[in-house]
Amino acid sequence: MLKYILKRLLAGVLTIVVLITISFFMMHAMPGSPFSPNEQKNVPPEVLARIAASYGLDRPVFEQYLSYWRNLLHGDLGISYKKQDTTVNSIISQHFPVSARVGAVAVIVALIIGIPMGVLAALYRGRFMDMAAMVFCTIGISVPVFVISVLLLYLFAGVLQWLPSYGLTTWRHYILPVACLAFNPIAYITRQTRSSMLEALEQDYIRTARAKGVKELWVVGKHALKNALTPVITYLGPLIAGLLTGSFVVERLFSVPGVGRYFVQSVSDRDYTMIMGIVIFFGIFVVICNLISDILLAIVDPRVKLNS
Amino acid sequence: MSVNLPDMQKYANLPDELFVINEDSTGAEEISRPSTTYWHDVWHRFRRDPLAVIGASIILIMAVMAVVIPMLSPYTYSGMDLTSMNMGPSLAHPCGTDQMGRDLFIRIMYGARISLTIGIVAAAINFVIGVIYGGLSGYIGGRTDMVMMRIVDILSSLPSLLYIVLIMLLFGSNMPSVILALCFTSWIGTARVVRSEVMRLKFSEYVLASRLAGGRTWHLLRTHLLPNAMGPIIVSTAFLIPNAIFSEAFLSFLGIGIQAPMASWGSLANDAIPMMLSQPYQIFFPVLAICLTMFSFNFIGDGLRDALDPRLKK
Repeated sequence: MLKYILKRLLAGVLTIVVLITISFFMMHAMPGSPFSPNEQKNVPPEVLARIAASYGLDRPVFEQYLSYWRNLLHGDLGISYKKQDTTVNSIISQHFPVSARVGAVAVIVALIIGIPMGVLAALYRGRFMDMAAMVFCTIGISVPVFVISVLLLYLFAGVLQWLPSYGLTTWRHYILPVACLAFNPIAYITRQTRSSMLEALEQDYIRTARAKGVKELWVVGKHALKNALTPVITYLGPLIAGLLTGSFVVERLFSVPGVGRYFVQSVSDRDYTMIMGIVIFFGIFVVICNLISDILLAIVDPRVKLNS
Repeated sequence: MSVNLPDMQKYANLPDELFVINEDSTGAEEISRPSTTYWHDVWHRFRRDPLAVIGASIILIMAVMAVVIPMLSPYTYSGMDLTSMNMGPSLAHPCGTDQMGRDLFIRIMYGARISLTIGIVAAAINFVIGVIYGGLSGYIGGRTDMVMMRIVDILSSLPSLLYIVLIMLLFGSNMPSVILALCFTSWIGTARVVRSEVMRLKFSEYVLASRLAGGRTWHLLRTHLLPNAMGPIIVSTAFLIPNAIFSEAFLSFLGIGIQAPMASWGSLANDAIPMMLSQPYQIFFPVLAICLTMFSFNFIGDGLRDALDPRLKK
């Protein structure tokens, strides 16, 4: 077990190193420095050179790379190119809790709706309940998150005016963003739970349990569900990455003050240090989530670490 | 042979004629129907899946429209007409016009060109990279395979969308860079499928026989391993198309995909957001086009999966 965890940890660290290196060199290859005389016509070139030097941009790239690492290991993600006194850390510490709160509610909602729906679909296989769940899954997998967000925004905030479309102050403000974020994950979780539940229900130990006279609710709830849930754990890592993707759209559309909205804004501002800082932060976050779900899976299902 | 002897004796004095099943056996050797190939079978199964057929028809119609309509239409994607701004759907403008008086129908058709091209080209490139990478990794095996697969593991655990955004910034917002960005990690799924198929087939008798007969690596891969692994490979490639279309629409929706005055479905939807309440049709049609395409490609993918590998059907 310890060996498995160490192996996963090592892979995770390696991934993070690759991630930081790729992001750094990509950022440096970006066309047009923010402080080149071509871009800032009304600032004297000497001043621009001074500003560039204050960011360390006059030094060789490799030296900058090392100093970026040094700062990073001290937990410093850098300073914005565009907003002189804003650090990436301050943006993340202010806005990430908002994103995390909305995201966490979305994960919980997706699990609470997706798992029971998948179980019911498997139990009533081929019947109406199953058909309805599968139709929903097809819609949920095919319809992109920005489409569902636009539709829900138009319907509930625009035409019906039941829910607020802007900000994040009361619990009512959470409903639409969470619904949009959870929409695709619910479909995936339902489909995954249904197929692994169907598989689990055909196993010998289920027949044994029934033969012993265990109550049906107990058979399904304990014996089958426990084994059907392992694929859902594997899905938790990608789910977090998917929520990040969704959050770019949802936070922008619903004016939620989260990191996702800030990221999109820095992309259109071409604020390179900010983009790099947020990419690295998100990347590390996703890698850690993957790591946790891998380790969790190995604890729940001992077969995993034997196979790897 | 463990035959029950007393049972056999029961039948011993029955007349021989009773045991002749079919006296006239002359026609037994005749082949009544032409033999079918695997691909024949696949096509037969695919054709009987109504959703897949509907999906394929929609895509076909959309592709023909995307090619033909811009050639025949009096409007262009950038032609503005300030006398007819924000007009609802009418005979002259089937999907209405936008805030600059551009015909939305023709813009959606140009968007279809962009989306379908990106989807198909990205899937084709990913297919090639995935087959080569996965094929080599699976065929060579051993330490090489280990290293190649660890590289893939690392790449796949990076949140790819962030990198797509970085690549778009690096190479500019145009169609080739969207395709390039989409090829950054999408081939990984295909490579994994190809690898596991090649690993499975590598030690089968016909491959060993071919190798004993002097077949080289490339020959073995090309004539034996890949053709037999084609089913799962095609299925995983088929699902790459809707993914690529989704990613492009997503990027354009965020304003970093295709740039004005060209428009993809994502950027059309993005442009229409401010007018959502007063001119809902402006967002409705691009979104409808995206949904139809995504549904169709997903149905085609499901249909292909069931047709190519009926064992997977549940």
